[in-house]
Amino acid sequence: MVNRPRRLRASGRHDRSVTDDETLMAMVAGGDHSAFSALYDRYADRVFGLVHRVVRDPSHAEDVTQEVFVEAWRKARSYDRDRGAVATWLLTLAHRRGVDRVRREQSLRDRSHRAAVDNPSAGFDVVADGVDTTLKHERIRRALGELTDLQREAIELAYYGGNTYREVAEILDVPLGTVKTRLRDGLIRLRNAMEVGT
Amino acid sequence: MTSDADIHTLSAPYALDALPDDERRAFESHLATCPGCRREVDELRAAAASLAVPVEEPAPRPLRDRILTTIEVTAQDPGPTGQQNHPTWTWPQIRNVVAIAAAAIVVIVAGLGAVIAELNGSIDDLQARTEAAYDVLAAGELRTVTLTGTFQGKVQLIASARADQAIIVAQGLPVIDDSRTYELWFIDTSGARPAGLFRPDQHGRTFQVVAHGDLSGVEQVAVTIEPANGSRQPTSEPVLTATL
Repeated sequence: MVNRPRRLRASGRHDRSVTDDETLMAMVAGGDHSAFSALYDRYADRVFGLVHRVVRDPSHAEDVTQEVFVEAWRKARSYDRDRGAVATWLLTLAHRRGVDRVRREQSLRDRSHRAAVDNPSAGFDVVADGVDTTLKHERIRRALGELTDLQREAIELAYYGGNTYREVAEILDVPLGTVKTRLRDGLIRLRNAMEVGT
Repeated sequence: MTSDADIHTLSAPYALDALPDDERRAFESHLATCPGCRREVDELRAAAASLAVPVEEPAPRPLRDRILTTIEVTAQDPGPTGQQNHPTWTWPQIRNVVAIAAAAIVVIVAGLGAVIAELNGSIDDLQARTEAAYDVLAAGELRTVTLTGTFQGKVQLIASARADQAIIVAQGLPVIDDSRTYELWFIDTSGARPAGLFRPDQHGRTFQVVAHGDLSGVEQVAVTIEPANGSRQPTSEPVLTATL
């Protein structure tokens, strides 16, 4: 890492290793380029991985990741800590951009058999492989284990598959209300499990 | 499409970006007036975002340089203005716009004429409102304040300090049922005080004289949705605000 440009200024209090996301974000909102590159380094892999999972095509994933970070830079001042963590804000932005890209591409193509060729379980398989054993991964793996198979299936199709809840209902051949319930209960269970694990 | 009663059940699909475009738009305008759903969406989004952790993968190295170079030449948006940390309220991310239009009475009257012409109310009602409005306008010392919020509508307050009354003129307000009302608040250093109730017609329009018009010392004007008889203190987050 000899050549890593624009490291965060080493000013003691804002040492990169201890600067929390909120502080970093406040610095980014103040136009600090080195704070932005630190934020990028912290979340680039997660944003890219998520976007790649949703849009599938690697070059589209790069485009969308760039869109996401440039938007995060532009809109840094509208980040509101009362509404959630920096990571949530950034990943919400990323997922939305990914889904929007998929919808745009899909409207150009026949979208009817998308679900059939897709294997949404792959996302969780990565966890099961245990490639990454950091605490965060471990906690989330355990949280995901709390979901019922039906909840997991619906959430995978929606979040990783980029399907609308109406498409999920069609794919699973269940009523809309059932899908809404599974998505909601699944997310709440995930949230509760994450809280317990913290 | 989804009926109004069902709309609260869409927070999970929304948090997962799993609403079709039309339902997403409808839900977003619902969010502007439903603090409960907003809170739930924030919580569900945090859970959804954790789903990104297991699919993490190394971002291509050249992407970093490309993005950081782009940032160097990209200007940041100004962001929401106004007080982020008001002592008692947390303000939504909205732009606060203040318009002092002492020189624009001609425009105001023309605007009112257009709004009046469109009103569906009875002639008597219209006449009473118009007379009350003329009293306010004729009293002078007028000040126009444009309130903004997360919905598309346009809401203006034309206040007369001399008459201590104000006119609310609105277009595109979300229609609310009879059990609730819009309530106007004047906020100064000592807190929020009620300044009048108003209710849009079925087209989301209103043209109504409200209780108070003296803006001296007032720092912010806000509108919340309250139970039908109004509240003494706001019980929900503002849907519209203006900083003076």
